[in-house]
Amino acid sequence: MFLLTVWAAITLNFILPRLMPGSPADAILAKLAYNGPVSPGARASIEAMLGVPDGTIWEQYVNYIGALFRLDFGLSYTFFPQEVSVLVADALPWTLFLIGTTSIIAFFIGTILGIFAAWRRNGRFDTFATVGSTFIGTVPYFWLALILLFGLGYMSGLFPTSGAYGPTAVPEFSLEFIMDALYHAVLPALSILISGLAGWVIGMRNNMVNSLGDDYVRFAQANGLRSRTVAIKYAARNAMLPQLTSFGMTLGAVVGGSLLTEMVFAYPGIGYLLFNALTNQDFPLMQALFLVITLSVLTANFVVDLLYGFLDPRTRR
Amino acid sequence: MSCSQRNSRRCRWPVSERSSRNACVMRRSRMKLKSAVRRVAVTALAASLLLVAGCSPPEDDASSKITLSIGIGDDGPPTMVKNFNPFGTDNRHGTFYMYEPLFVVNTINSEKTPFLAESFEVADDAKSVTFTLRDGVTWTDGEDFDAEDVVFTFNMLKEYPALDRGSLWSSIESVTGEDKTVTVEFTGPNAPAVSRVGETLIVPEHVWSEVDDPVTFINEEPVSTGPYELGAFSPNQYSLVKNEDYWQADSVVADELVFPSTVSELDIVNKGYDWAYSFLPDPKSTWVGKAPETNRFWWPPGAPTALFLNNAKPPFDNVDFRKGLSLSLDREDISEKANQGWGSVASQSGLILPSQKDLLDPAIPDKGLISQNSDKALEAFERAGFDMSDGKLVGEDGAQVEISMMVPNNYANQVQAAKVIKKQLAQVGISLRVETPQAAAVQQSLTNGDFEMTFNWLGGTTMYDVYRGVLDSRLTAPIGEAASGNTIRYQDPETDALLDSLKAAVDEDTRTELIHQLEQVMMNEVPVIPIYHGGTWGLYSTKKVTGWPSAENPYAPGTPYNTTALLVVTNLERAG
Amino acid sequence: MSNTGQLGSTTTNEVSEGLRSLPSGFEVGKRTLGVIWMNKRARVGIIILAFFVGMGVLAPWLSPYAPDNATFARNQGVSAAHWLGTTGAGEDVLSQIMYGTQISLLVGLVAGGGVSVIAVIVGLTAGYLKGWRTDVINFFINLFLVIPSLPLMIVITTYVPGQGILVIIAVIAFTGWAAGSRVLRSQTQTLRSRDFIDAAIFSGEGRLRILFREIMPNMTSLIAASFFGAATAAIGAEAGLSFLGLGDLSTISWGTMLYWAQNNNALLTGQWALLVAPGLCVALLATSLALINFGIDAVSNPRLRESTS
Repeated sequence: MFLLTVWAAITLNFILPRLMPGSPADAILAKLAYNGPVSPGARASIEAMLGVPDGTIWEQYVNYIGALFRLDFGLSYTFFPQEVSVLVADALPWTLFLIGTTSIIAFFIGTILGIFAAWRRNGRFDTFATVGSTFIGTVPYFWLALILLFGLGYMSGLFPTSGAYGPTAVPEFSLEFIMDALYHAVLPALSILISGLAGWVIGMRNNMVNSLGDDYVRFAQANGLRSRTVAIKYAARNAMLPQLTSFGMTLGAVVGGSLLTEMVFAYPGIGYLLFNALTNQDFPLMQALFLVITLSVLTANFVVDLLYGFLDPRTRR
Repeated sequence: MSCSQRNSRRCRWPVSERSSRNACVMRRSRMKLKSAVRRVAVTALAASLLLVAGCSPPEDDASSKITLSIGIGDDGPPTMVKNFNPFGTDNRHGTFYMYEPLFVVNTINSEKTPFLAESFEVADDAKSVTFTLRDGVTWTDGEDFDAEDVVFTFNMLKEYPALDRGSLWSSIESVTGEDKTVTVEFTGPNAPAVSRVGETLIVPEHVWSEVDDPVTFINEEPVSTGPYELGAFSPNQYSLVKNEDYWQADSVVADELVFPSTVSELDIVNKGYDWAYSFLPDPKSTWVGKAPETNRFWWPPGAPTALFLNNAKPPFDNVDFRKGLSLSLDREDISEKANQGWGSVASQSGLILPSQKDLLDPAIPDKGLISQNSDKALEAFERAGFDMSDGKLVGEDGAQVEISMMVPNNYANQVQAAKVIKKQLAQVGISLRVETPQAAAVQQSLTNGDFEMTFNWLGGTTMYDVYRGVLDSRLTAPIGEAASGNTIRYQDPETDALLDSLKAAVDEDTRTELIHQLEQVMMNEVPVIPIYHGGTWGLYSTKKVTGWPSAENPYAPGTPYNTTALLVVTNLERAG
Repeated sequence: MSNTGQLGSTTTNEVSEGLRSLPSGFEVGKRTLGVIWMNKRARVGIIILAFFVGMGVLAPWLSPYAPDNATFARNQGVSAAHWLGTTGAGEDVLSQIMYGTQISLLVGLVAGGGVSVIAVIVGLTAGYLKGWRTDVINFFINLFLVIPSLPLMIVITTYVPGQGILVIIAVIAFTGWAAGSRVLRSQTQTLRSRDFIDAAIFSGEGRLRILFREIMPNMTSLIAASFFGAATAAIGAEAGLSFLGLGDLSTISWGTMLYWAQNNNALLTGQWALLVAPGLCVALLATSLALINFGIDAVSNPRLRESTS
């Protein structure tokens, strides 16, 4: 089943770009036209540069699958002649760093808030946390990013407004560079964190409310166990299971990045690269990115399934 | 979000281009950094020696180094690939400050400024051009520049058509040279090709002959002849440092140029660049107001933005219908809305006015500016067989005229213009459907003739190129097949003959006369409808340097991303 | 957009005790609405939603100017004549906000509805059928869960000719159904092992009838929740796509307003309202739907009812 889905995703990656109107040569022509008129014949030269795919669509497909196994994604059209694998390898760490870290933080903070909200149900904190996070959770995250960018970036000048590191920095493993990268990550991370938190708060709260109503929890309470022990040991533990499922899915989706957030902050991650690829008809780059994204989601699903069996004794037969 | 990050309206190519830091690029750039440090040290040493020798420049000059920051996202975002291949589609802007052509054409007035060629002479039959190369030019690695480099460059373009984007070799027969003379033979009379040949950037034979595949060569350590050399490169920003051995080093005052990968309009305003290129709303307050003493802007009209009509498709195949459309449009209104008050309406002649006013046929009324006239428009539509009924313009079949118009979604000013046109055409009973696909899809429809109406530029190095691009029937193709030019599919043998005469004309008066006749074709046939001039959005600061291009001294359009940048950096003067 | 999908949707393992036996539909409806209205949050949500519906429907009468009337001075700040200022083209921002409501409501209603219909059909079928047919459907559900939805939307919007708002809605519906159908699938699987379904099977009822007459009514609240969740996500998705310039730029929606604000550099000219107002409206409208979902969750899951604590 896993492999079948992988195959389907790979095949879809092959088909989708070919359905798009406009060819890569058109995309590059359109791009060049932006800087001024393009002379007749430019198209022929660009086609010569990119190389027109050989053979029938089936031969292309076979070549494509073959190249995948060799992890050979070819040269990017947009960033010609840069290799696709290099582009992806360069962008991936930044997305993992930014979105991965913030997703984990959002999960923990959100889950804890959810536990509290459910515990003090209908109390002031509950109302505040649920209604507040409902509102924040529905704010379009790119808009939130824009507001943060303008407020904390441009107006106050507190944080850098673009990029993942300073203008003259070169990526390396040094304390200075890491601090620089963290500094640049603050605003994008904040925007993802804020908008990502809500789902966890409400999810955990609802799960908790459910399990607090379960017989065994009531039983434990009736037996005179301390409420907090009950909440944490029994209710929260069980309520965590569905949360973990979603968390696994979220982690899988991390690689896909937050396209719009990365764009707003000019963050050199997968999301931005994907937008570049999509708008420039960059088939090789697009295919590699779709592959990386779908594979990571699939793998995350797979791992979550395994983990679920491990954590939930009921499914262990 | 920054302009270069996303298609902001008039920043140049909008949709983000490149990104990458690859491990080896990084390594090399770190090495480069070291070598830059070394170079600075050497320069400092040399300067101190000069001081000792007693031929020091004036005191303050030596102490104040001029660093100019250039605020046009260098096709980052988010990060840049280190690519300085002059013939690539993804090279950095810095390429144009390092490599030189034989001459640079000022697109404002078509004036040619000699660079690597001291002079050139076009043969009387326009079948060849002979360049006399400049003496005493050296490559940055110390080798001498000579005719062999020029011949090599052109022959490389012949060998690799992928590099020959101007399709020079469709009109060149051969390129030969010796010592300081280079002769280019054309396949036929071809005076306009001289400009395209002259604008080609020349690369060193001794370096490029060693390159395996110049098509995929990213030229990380450029060896060039121009005013600048590559300094430090990091994925977010790089710098160019002055080439002290440059043949006209005296004319270059800025010691260093800095190019960031990402620049937003807010950056431009807040960070205060020395030279930026972007459309800012209300520049008098947003740009000049920020530093009234030093911030300047000059926005000369650029290539006309025109409505391209598919001349092969009814009802656009009817000249009266095209005229009716033209008369239905209020260009002032469109230009005003699209450019927030900073555009100027374009002449139907296809010329950029006023800069090309000398080429304008005096017989053309009102400089070819067409004003809206609904009555005349309806008359024209009637001649074309369309009538107004119930506020709708209907054809013989009784159906309302419906036009679909494609505008790339990243050209916000054109989308805005289309909205205005939609309203204006509604007044003459035409229903316009505006579609906003991505630029590539629009380009494909244009190439294949699968469109009714769209925006495009009327442009080219010479007027011949401008007219040929829309009128030459030998460039076009039937609907459904790719056309290399003339995407509007205009066909007229007489116009083709005019174009051929212009191609062969060397004499200035003959050329002007032929251009006048082509202007008449534009006026009478209305193959395209020029609406407003595309802008050139140069923003300057006179804090460190003066002498930026201006209305008084229009020596360059002020675009930092092509060869005209060479004109700018060699014309600047130290401020104060 | 990925974050909003989770809001308010119930977790899969909740089976409502309150729905075991079904009285007449009318009474159920009344009771359901009662439960929703009882929920304070849902009540606030309904009020906000009603406000937006009112604004959208009455826009032609309420708005001070026509939304495409571009005859005013450009880039004006907040003033008495223009409460939220004017755009870079000289249009009144407040009027655009009012008309924009129509588009967002339309997108929420139609796309949310579309997503729900697909999710119900696919989810119920997958949950009810057994054997290879389920496998096939599950395969597609998984596939759509795996493909990143925003990029998929971008690809499809560029592929489909014309960017009419209906195209956008169709794309959103086409890419958004998988999560909902997964939830409904699990619920169907739980329900189909219930006695009353066995009884129906024995009494010789047809498969379709069992599916849509016996099983589906038991999941009304779950379906409603998935509708509101989908509508919330759809409103956000439209805003995002339009912001990227991939929507229908000729209509006036909150998303296209953000596109123009961005492309005309509203902040350079001090046009805060132009940027803030559309985003806030998207958030408020989506919040209202999510708040209503609290009430619906309470219907399907009595433990979430406020009165029971």
